[in-house]
Amino acid sequence: MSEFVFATAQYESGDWDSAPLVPANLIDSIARYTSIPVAPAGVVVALSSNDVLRFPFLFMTGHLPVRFTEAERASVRRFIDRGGFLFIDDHNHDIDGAFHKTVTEEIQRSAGPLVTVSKRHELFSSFFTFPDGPPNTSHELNGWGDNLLHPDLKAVFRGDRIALLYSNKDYSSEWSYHPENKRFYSVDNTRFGVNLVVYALTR
Amino acid sequence: MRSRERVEATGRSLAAIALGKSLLLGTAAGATLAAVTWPLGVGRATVFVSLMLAVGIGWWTYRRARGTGFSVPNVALWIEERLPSSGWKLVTAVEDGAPEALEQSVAALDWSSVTRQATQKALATPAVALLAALGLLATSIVFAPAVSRVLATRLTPGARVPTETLDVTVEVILPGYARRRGESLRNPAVVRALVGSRLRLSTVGRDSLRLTVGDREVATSSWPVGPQAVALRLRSGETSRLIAIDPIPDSAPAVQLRNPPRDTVLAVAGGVFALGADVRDDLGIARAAFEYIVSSGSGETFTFTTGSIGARQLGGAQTGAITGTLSLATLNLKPGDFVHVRAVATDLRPDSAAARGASETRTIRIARAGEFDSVAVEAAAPPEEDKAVLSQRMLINLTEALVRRRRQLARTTLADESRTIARDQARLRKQVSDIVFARFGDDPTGEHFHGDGHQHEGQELRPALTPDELLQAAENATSAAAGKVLDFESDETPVVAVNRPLLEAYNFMWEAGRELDQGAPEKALPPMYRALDAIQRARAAERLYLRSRPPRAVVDVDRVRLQGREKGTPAAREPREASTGAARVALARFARVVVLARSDAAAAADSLLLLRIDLLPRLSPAQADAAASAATSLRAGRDAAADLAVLRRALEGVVASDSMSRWSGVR
Repeated sequence: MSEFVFATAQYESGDWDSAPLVPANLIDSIARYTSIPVAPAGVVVALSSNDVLRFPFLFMTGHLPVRFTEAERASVRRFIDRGGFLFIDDHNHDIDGAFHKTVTEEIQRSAGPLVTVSKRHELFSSFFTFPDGPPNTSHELNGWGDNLLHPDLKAVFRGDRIALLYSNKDYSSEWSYHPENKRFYSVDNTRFGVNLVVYALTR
Repeated sequence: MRSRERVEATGRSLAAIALGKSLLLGTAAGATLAAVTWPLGVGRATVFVSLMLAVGIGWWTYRRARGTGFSVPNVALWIEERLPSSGWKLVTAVEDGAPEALEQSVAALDWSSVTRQATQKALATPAVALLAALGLLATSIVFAPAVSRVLATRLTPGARVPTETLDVTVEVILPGYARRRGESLRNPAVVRALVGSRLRLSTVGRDSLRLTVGDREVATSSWPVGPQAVALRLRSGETSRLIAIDPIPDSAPAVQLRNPPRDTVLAVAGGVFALGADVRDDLGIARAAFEYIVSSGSGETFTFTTGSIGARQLGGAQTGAITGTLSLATLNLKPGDFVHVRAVATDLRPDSAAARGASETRTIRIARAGEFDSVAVEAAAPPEEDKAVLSQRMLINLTEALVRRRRQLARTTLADESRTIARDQARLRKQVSDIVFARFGDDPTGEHFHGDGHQHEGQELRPALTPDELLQAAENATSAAAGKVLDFESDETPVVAVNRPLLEAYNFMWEAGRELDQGAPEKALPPMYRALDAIQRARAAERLYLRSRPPRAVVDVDRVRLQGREKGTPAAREPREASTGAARVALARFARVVVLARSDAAAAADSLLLLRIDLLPRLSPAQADAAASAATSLRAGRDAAADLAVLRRALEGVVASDSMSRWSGVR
């Protein structure tokens, strides 16, 4: 069995590399809590390339407006149709911001309509248990942004499988720190990231 | 009324009788032909031929009945032949200049009975023939399916006898926004209709017609076409049949942005951009415009402004173009801002959110201040400074202070403090040498790593430099280009050129350190100034962090798992193979259809339509057409082998015909 490689999607528009420490942090969490063979370093893969099909899990984030090229749209469609799991996180702390508006529009065009993920979905119990649904981020709670909690995640389904998960809870800010600093947290806030990866690898 | 006028009136009656006879006979002939050909399928050719036959027969009949014409002498002679009691006076009486006495002698003649008898004789037989032809046509329409099957059985050896099917007419009513007329289809196997259309189904010769979709019974008067392909089952009595509905989605408008043609970076936020875009849609475009988003800010703080330019109502045209201008001066842009421009269009659908098409986005970026002074890609910022290393500027400050105090200090104190500064100078020089070593010595952490085996043309891989070689290179760089601006020489690689300021700094630091070690801070200052200048030039050329390093996002997995150390390399997963389970199931269903076709062609046609609906996303249009054609052929009892072969090849994944010659006979 080949090891899991954390892949970050590089797209033409916007700032795809706005959260450079998220991959290392989630790789650390996967190594820390699971026995999944995991590569020590993540990779960056062009969203428009066929290389995305080599990875079961793809992470995408950014602050700026997202406009997919036709090749990127086709690649996203192909990736999720063939069993991939694309996790898109809005790195802004606001509501209805430009990233949110543009990326949801692109998701609609590329993958299909976004629907709310139930708080009882197996995504919230695939490894750690989150009985209240998606964990809130400090950026939602400390007044950085719109002072609103975004209680739900949205997703595009393929059958009963989540193929594309969209969050505007800003996990990119929440998880973008050096994994060595995880020791300062009483509760590791990247545990939900482990759920995402485990779900992606088991469904 | 004079006799001539009466004869003229009779002539007109005879002409009308001849015309009526020819119309009746012509219509009867046409109806007879239509009745004969109806079971073979009603097409435009059949209607045309029947019409032509009717006109031909009618014209021939009229010409024959008219003879030499209905002139007054001819009609008078015709009356005299059938009315001997006229005494053969009528022809003479109607001539010009006939005597008045003769007129009075024929005034009492009455030939109305002759006309009546002629009418009955001329029209009775054609009328009967027409009635018979119409009866035959009605019979033919009612029994056309059965006759068609019998004919097909007799005419096509080995053809299977299909079971009785419903004779169904499907009227497709397109949604109003399509601005097009619908169509009427008779006995279709597949109905392709725009999503949102309504279907009206009716049958001939049946009292009741029930329509079900799945387990749900729906009205036959108006059934809406949804986005999914479905099978409609029609039942009347014991007879039923399937009709597959292929929904045709209304595509979103296609928008192509012509101007600006590419992304760009502007040094100054000014000027006017000409915007241009072409739009087209399958049905019609309602509105098109340009949209822009201005992104301001950096890091974690961004603000956005949106707007629209050049909106135009296209009134349902299928193609169109829009133009506009984007004045950057009005957008209040600052250095580092982005302007994203694209064109959008909506079609005529009332659901505008689903019918919105957009072009690619062009990005206009305003350069940051000082951006064009840098040739380097910024790495992530260092996590923290190495506070043990003093900067060159601080060393200069310390040295200048020491020089100012040197007259108050004893020689030994001056030498001790000077050597202290020399040690810090040496540590800083070591930082510079580490950077140069990393680049020249092919350290994988360096910017240009040759460890993957690649090699520049005409250039061999450089081995790691020794300290002596490094010093020599530094001296060469200093003597060759001290103070020059950064530029690539003809025999240098960019890596060497970029490092030259650092080599200069290294050499001047070495020189300053030597002077400081000897307790001569005043002599150390000039090379220290030049080292600082070289460092400044290097910093302007690329982003260097002399006092710390950018983070390396590599996790030591085994250490996290308390299993020791290991330098792993990323491994990629192999692409997944396409699942063949669904294809096997489809092939098995296809095989059952073929077997069923031998015993019950109508059921096989229904099964084939259901299989086609399930496979529709996988089939090419030609393959889908072949499946529909096969179902039609099976239902009509015709040979469906060729179409079934096309479908079988599609299911088995055999290469399609696109790459083959059209003469190959393979579809």
